[in-house]
Amino acid sequence: MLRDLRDQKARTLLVVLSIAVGVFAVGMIAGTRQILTHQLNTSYQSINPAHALLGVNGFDSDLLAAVQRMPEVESATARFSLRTRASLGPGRWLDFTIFALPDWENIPINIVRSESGPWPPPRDAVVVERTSLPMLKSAIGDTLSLELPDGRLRDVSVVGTAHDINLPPARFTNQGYGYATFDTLERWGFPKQYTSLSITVADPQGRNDQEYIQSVADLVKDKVESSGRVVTFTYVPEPGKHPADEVLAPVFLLLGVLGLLSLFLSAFLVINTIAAIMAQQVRQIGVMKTIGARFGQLVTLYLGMVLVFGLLALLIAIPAGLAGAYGFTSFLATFLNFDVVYEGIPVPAVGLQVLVGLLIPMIAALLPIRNGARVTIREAISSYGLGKGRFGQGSFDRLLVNSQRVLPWLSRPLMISLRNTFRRKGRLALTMVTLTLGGAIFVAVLSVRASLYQTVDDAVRNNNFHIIIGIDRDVRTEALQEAALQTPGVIAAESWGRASARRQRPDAPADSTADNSLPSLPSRNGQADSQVSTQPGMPGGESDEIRINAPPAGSKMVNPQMVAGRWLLPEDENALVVNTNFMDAEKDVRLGDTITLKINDKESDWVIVGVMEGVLDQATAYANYDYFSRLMGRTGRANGLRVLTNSEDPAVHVRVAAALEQKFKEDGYTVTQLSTRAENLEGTEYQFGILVNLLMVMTLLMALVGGLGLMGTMSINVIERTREIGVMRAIGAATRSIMQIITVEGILIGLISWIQATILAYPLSRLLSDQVGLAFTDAPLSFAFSVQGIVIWLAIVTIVAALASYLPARNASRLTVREVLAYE
Amino acid sequence: MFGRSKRAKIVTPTSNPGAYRFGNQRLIELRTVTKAYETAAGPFVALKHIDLEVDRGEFVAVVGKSGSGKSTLINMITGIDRPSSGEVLIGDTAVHTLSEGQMAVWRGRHVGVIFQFFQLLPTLTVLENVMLPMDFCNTYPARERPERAMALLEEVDMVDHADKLPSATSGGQQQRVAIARALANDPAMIVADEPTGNLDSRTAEAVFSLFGRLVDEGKTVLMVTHDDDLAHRVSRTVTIADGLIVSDTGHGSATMPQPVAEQMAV
Repeated sequence: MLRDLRDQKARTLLVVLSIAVGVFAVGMIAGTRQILTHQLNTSYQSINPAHALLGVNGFDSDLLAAVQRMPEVESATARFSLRTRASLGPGRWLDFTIFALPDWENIPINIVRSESGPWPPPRDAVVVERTSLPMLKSAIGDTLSLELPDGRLRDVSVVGTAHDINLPPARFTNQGYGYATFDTLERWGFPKQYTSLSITVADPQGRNDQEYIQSVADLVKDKVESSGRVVTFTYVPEPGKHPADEVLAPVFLLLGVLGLLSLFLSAFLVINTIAAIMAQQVRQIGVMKTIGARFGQLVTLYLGMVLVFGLLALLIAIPAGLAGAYGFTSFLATFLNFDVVYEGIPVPAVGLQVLVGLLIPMIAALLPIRNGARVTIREAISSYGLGKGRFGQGSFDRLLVNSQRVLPWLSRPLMISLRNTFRRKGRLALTMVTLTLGGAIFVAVLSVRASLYQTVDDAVRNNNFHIIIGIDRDVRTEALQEAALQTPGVIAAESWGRASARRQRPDAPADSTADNSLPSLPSRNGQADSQVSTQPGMPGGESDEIRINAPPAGSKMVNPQMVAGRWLLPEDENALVVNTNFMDAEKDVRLGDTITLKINDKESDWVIVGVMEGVLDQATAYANYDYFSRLMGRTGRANGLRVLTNSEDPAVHVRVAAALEQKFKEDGYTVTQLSTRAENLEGTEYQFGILVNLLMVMTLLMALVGGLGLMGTMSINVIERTREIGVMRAIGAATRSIMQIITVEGILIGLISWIQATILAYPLSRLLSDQVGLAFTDAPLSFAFSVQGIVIWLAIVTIVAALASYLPARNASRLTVREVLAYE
Repeated sequence: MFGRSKRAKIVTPTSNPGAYRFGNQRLIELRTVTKAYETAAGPFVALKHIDLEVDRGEFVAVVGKSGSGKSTLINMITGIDRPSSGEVLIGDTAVHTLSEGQMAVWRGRHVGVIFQFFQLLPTLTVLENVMLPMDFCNTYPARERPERAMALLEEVDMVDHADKLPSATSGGQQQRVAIARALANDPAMIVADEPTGNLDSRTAEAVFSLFGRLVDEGKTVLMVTHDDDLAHRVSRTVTIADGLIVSDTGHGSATMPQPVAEQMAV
């Protein structure tokens, strides 16, 4: 048997590769999961992550010391954060947040590690978080021009880099982060004070108890508020878990499913190949039975052969899986801002590989081995001539035979290809399953990609403007709009009222200090982040932050996709249209309900008149500008604009934004906010891009399995038809004819699988798109089916089929007639 | 059994001795052909310095015990195998110099090969099997091929089975189809390796008669056989033992004294 494996090198390699691909996929995914989860959490724990984070409107070291003295608190630290903009060149800016720390050498919580340069940075210098450096298009030693919130410009030197695992990579958020001392900030006119407070709890039992941590955070909140400060938010993350853990779980679930699928398809390849080997071994089995071999002995013998295949596959799959796991983890780590170190072999993942690498092929081979070993001696020694595959017995075969009448232009060699395709129907079915699933998943992944971008488009469609610009004070809306409209490229400008609100849930006491709701601001650094999580709120207390947008009545810049109720009418006063994200967060609210919102510490009642689709959005409510500005005491005035340009080109938006900024500065305003639509979506598209890339890696693996499957099938077909090929050679078939017959058969299989894949792709795309949406955005994605994917798969499957059948065809054409006719 | 022949349709070139390109006087000339195989037990010489000449219109039986080298000899002539040394000249072609691909095309056009186990392609109908050599060698215009194939099938009395798959016909019928296929490109030479070895005696007799008719039409037929009776009824018998031609009876008569078919009608 071992001699047989050695002599049939190509066949052995094919089986071993078939098994190895599936086992590699399982090993890579399981290994990545193990290495990533372990190292991410180890790295995260090494910075002593905060148990709770509170946003406070400015406090000093005395209050920090008071919190540190609280018996429930193990340690506490504070940070000051300042939002600036870093110049990237004429008219181009990157939001840049600067953090200042109370003690640079001894950071007890959320430790930041210096990676290069002086720490702390000297006066008028910044240390940049390492992922921000490329975004700033700067290098150490460069000077960075920062614009402060009041519009003043200050130059700082970039003197080093630091690593803060708590910060997402700058490309994710499309903003940079850096560190400067209070010395620098005080020179810029900012007093030494802090804006966020991080704590760890003292009770070792309570460190993993989110409820307990929340209660301590509430005590700290009380303490802070009793000193006269305002707590803007409290955030208690899931204890001990890196914030990305939540995102990684569905990613691994998805990759795991695809990994298992490739293993499953690998098993199909094993079934096909073992069945072919058993067919080739028929005579040998007959001889062994003649000299006394029993069924059980034969089964054991051939299972032993499969075991050897499995062991050989493991020799490839384990090192490849290990390299893949570390490579994949390093790739993912760049998106999670942590470093991967080699920590040896992930034993459980390798154990899983060994288990599936040995067990799955044995299970898959059991049926073909059983069937092969059952052959009678008479059947085994009586086979001769051509005709394996019992062609011509079924009605489908008869249909194919009659097809010559319908397709008289089809040449005999092509007819042979067509009929050969359907000779081994079981083998064809298994090959088809592999290729069809590979194709359907390929198209589904591209459909998810299309759906992700469709979702972004839908999100954009809700807001029909290109630029948001904010200034430092309230100005008459007409004056603002006029200034904007004088800028070349601007075709419309609207002043919108903006505010943050929190819903006062029905049974909440009027005093928000009695708040017992679960705070859930996802920002991990205490910076004034406007993004709010959409986790369902509990009845009672205050809601998470809700964004209020107040466009003028009849605004052309909002294009709501209504789900229920109606859009705002000009005569509406305290009417609100909320988005679906709001409804998800405030599950007890119904259309027509009256809710109480707390805006700038003032409560007001609002009636919900409509619900609009919220795509990639936070909980948001829309009100009429006139009523809203009256309520806020800012009638006819605004501090920002939405601007529509005459182009959809993001480059034009950037140019117009720069021109707008220039114009507003010339008019004496300080621009505090300036962003284009493309910039706002860049981070989201980047994140989607990563997800799609991950899925594409797995899809290519599936295509590889499919290609291997087809190559295996074609090789087996060629081996089985070696004698036929010899006969064709003997009656005048040239090399080209033989290659054509085999290659066309391979391509036919590919094309049929493509048709099937196209049919299966639609429901699969829908399912995958919905699940990805639910996992990553809490709502199904806006579905878009990738027709482009179908066309690309057609090209791939044709090329793969041609390549997969080329080698067997070439081998066949190289056989001499004597070898062929002496075969068996 | 194979009555109603339309022999006129099968065009056979006239013999043109002495006019071949390599100076060979006969259609088939083997010059000091040796064939040795490497085996695990050392080199095995299957043919030893064989010289053989066969002219047009000869019906030659190659006989010998199993392993004597008769199939190897036939394989040299059909180009299925090539000599270790020596020359194989068939008409204007030095067969031993051709590549495998060139050999296939040459064989398709000039040699009709018939196997013991018929070797019809199982996915093609009887008619399609007969048309296939014409397709491969592009010897007749595509629209003429079905008509010619039907004529050949009529020649072997298989017209009624034209649309059947080979698996739906008997062994004898399949061998007749194989003969029709061998004649598809109108080759000057038919080479058959034990063509009756797998047939009952009645069918074998009919096949043999068909070969006789082909010889009458001017074809050269070489046939490996174990059947002494059949071997004695051909114009020439070449006996091989241990890779050597040990006897060559009937050699020298370039044409048969009387039509073979009549002679064989015993």
